[in-house]
Amino acid sequence: MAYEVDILASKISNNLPVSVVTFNDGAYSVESKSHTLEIHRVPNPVTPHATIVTWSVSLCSEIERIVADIYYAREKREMLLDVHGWHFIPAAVALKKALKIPFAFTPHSLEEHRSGDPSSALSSCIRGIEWLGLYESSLVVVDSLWMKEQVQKIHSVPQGKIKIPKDTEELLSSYQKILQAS
Amino acid sequence: MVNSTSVIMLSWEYPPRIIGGLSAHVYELSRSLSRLGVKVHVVTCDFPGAPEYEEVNGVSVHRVDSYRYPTPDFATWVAMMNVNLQHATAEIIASDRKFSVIHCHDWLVADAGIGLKHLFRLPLIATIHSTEHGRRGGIHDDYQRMIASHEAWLTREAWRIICCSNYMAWEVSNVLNVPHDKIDVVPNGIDSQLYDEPFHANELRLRFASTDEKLILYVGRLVHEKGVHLLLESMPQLIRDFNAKLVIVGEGYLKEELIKRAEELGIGSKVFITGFLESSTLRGLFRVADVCVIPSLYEPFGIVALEAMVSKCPIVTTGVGGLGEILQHEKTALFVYPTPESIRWGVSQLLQNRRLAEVLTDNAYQRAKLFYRWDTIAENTLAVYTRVVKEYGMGSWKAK
Repeated sequence: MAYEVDILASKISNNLPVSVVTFNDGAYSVESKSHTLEIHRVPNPVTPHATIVTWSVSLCSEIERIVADIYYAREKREMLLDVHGWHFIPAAVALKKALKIPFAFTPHSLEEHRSGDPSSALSSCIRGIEWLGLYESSLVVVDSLWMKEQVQKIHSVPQGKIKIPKDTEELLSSYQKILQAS
Repeated sequence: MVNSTSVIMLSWEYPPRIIGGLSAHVYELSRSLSRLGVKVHVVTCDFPGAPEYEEVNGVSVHRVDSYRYPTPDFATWVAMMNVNLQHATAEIIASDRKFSVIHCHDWLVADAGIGLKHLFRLPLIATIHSTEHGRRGGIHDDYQRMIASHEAWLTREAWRIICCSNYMAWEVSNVLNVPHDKIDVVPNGIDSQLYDEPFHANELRLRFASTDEKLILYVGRLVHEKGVHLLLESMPQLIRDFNAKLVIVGEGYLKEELIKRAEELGIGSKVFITGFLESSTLRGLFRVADVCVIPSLYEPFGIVALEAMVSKCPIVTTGVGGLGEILQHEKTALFVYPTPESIRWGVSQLLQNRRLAEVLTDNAYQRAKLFYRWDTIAENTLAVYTRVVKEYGMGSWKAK
């Protein structure tokens, strides 16, 4: 996922400013890769953790801080989030509800397939977060027809909400539609 | 009275959901603030039968579905409760951007409160009612380390921190590495009028002890830090000397152990563990008891002392933590060492010397009425809000 996001961010930053906000197991840092691409590496403010969910939720509060700071620094100019994986979904939903920032959700995989015991309470919780992301997002981005079918089958997401963009231009066009609609 | 301050308060418990003392604290504080003209919204967890939204004495109470997701353990439940609480609160603030401060009670709502602070760029105030270090007598495992880390993060992010006693301020400062000048001490309060309500004293007393028995009362969680096991050990002699009966009100992991120990000591019939009691029954019990014993080993504040004080019930206490600030030895209570022998001595003194008991209870009653009225507590809390709003107004960190 890290490699894919890196390539995607580089491509998109040719057309518009991109901030990548990601986890870092160290101090907070900002790296400017170009004048339109910056990487924010954010540590978890709480350590240790009981489960991956407690890790995610505490980190999300810090992600909210960073994204809100970017939003206010850009004087509340139009913004869109593309959330990769379920871990930052609580933050994306909070940003949408608080600051009306819409988001696209790119689930690179689903808990149903990842987990050795999908019916466990922890997996059910993660599935719940995935569902929240799929439900609250304006667009769901997947990279295969199979994944599209799985998202539909497991989470009952309307077909029209799921896109398989063939290239960066098509993805940018989808982003544009979300911003126009919001 | 009208005040321009408006606060959104986050608490994981609010009546009728009662887990510990936090519920009553938030209930009384919020309605007292409302009486001062402060606009108060409380966002809390849901409870079976309680409405999703209601106005309680001028306070807007929002109850959020906190069991939406299955969770494997308490820590994960707390995390997901924060997600739900935060999303609901974000909608409330976004729909009416007139809130002055966010006020969080304890680490259990830290994830939600800190996120909201940054999303809306509103100052955050945190009340730390106790610390994990204090509750557990140190940090012994990773689970406790996680909670302590949440507490440290919350106090770091808070503009001001409120503690209920100087003892707690000292503890928060030392355990969580918080500068002492960031902390305000605002004690808990008590609604003494509730303890003046008419009730059938004899009838109520007979439910717990016979007329010839001296009723020794303990109220609190049945956990090691409360020292209830020490009180139990002091009882055999008191039963012999005064025909005493020990009534223990509360629940906790020590319950079975206490029952077993009472049997071993041969005093099973003289010890009554009631579990939780209805509020009005508990208030009545304070008023009919001969002595209330507060044998705590750790006590951030000690609200049970205020309950006994306004009930004119004589108090024997170890005086640890916040208890030493509420009560004074030989003025409002008898202070004892945390040993069965010393507790026995204190209780004996008050059972033998009713004149002493009367003087102590009169003094204690006056003190509670003077210093621990909720209106006074709300005024002091509002002073913290006002200070924070003023400082915030002078800075550039705003949602603009």
